[in-house]
Amino acid sequence: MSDLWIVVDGECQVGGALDALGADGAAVTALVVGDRELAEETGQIAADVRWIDTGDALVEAWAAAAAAVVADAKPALVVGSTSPGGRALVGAIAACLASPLISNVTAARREGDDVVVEQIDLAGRVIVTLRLPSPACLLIDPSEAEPSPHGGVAEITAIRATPGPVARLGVESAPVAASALRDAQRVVSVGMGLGSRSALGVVEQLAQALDAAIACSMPVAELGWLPRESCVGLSGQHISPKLYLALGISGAPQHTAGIRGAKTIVAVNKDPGASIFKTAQYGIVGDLHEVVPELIKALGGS
Amino acid sequence: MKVACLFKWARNPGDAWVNPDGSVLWRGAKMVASDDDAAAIVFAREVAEATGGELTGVTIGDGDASWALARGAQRVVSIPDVAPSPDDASTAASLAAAVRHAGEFDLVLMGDAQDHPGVAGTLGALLGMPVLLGVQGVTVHGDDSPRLLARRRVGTGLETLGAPSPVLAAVAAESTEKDVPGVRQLMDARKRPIEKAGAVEAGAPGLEAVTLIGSRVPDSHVARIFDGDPASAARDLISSLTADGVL
Repeated sequence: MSDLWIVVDGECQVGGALDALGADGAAVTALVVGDRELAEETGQIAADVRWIDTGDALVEAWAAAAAAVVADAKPALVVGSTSPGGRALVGAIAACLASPLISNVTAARREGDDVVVEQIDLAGRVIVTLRLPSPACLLIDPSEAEPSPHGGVAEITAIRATPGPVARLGVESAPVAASALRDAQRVVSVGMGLGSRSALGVVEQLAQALDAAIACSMPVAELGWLPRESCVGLSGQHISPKLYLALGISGAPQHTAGIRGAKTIVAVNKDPGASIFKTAQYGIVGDLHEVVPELIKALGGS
Repeated sequence: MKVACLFKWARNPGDAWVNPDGSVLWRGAKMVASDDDAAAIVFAREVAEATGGELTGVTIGDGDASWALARGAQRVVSIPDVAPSPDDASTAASLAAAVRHAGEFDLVLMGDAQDHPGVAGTLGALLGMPVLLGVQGVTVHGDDSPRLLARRRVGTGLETLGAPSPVLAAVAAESTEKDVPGVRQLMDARKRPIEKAGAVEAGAPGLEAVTLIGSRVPDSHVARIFDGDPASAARDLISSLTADGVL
């Protein structure tokens, strides 16, 4: 059993966590809180898997049980994801271990009895380096690193546990718009630079020419120019399209938090100082009302 | 139901000044209420009113504690001498001490701050309460044994979650604060007493376990900008995206 534990719920990117730790799967113990399939998938990456079978229960319901398992093992470092389930699990573990808990970590290393971490702070404006004593708990801001199979046969140990009283009582499917946006490979998104709802027509033509879904910033959704489900950002959807075209969007951290996973970002904004240009890979400084019709022509649209 | 709502337990990242060498200056910036705090206290007030109970605002640090009184809290408890911490577990421990000092509660609500995602889960565990995180709505059902119902957006759907009291729920706002109190409400709130306690008296953690050993500005990123008139810039952009395999 390793003294480095990764807490795996359905949304934990194990590869990203291992990448942040500079560790390989043979050197970690994974605590899987999920179904058998998740345990077996994790077993291809981590050689030692402890598994709490959640059945249909909410991940948060197993927080106390997970804490008991980890406390018994007394690890030096525990890492988890920032999903609601991951946060509940790691929070309970931190409370049980009486350990520090650092969030938004991108890298971590052990130095003797201490842990040194890099954390994205101030909504991405600064990276701070912190030293903390072990045992320590971290919430990882995951990269998209692909995990490498450890090539062996993982030992999966099932753990009998009793869930707490929180429960999922039902799930309603999202409106089609929300599902389409989440799965879209290309997204055209508009901000307040659009000016008015009536200007959406040309944006829709561009989206059609690109075979893209349409999204927006929070202020646009609050004005009702586009449905709430189309909003991308801290309080909206978090999406990872291959192409994200930001039209008239300033690039405030509250918005860019929702597109951290986007592979390529293109920005059109008439303000050359707009912070979106610090996030985008490509850009045009100009009025979107003039640029968008030309983009449609350049794509072969009318 | 006895309801507590935590507020103003973090600073606004936008209030910090970042120097080119990565050092950070807060210039006296205080703890402030987030949109998540504002959403949480609306639900807290609604639950307290629906159950004929009392709403207590609980805060730590140097923010204006009358904020909660202006938004429907009957009383506010403040532990002002708590400093902001990079350690979410330390913040949670301070909040737990503040909540315990304020009394016993059936429901604790708070804003689920994206910059401090570890606080709510840790706090729930320290208080011995189950947690529901990242929720967008909270109601209570049942008279004899009230049960919390919460809704949460997940991926392609909307979950309904339930838990018996006592429970902690962390709210992720769906919009900026809608019904901001007027000047008269704010002034009236400032005249009302705040119950204050020292950090030591309340049992908040003492020494910080985490040490800052460096800070830097992220590597700057320069977008490839296409100049010229809109037509030529658009053509050049599409050509480059095609050549680079994006389109």
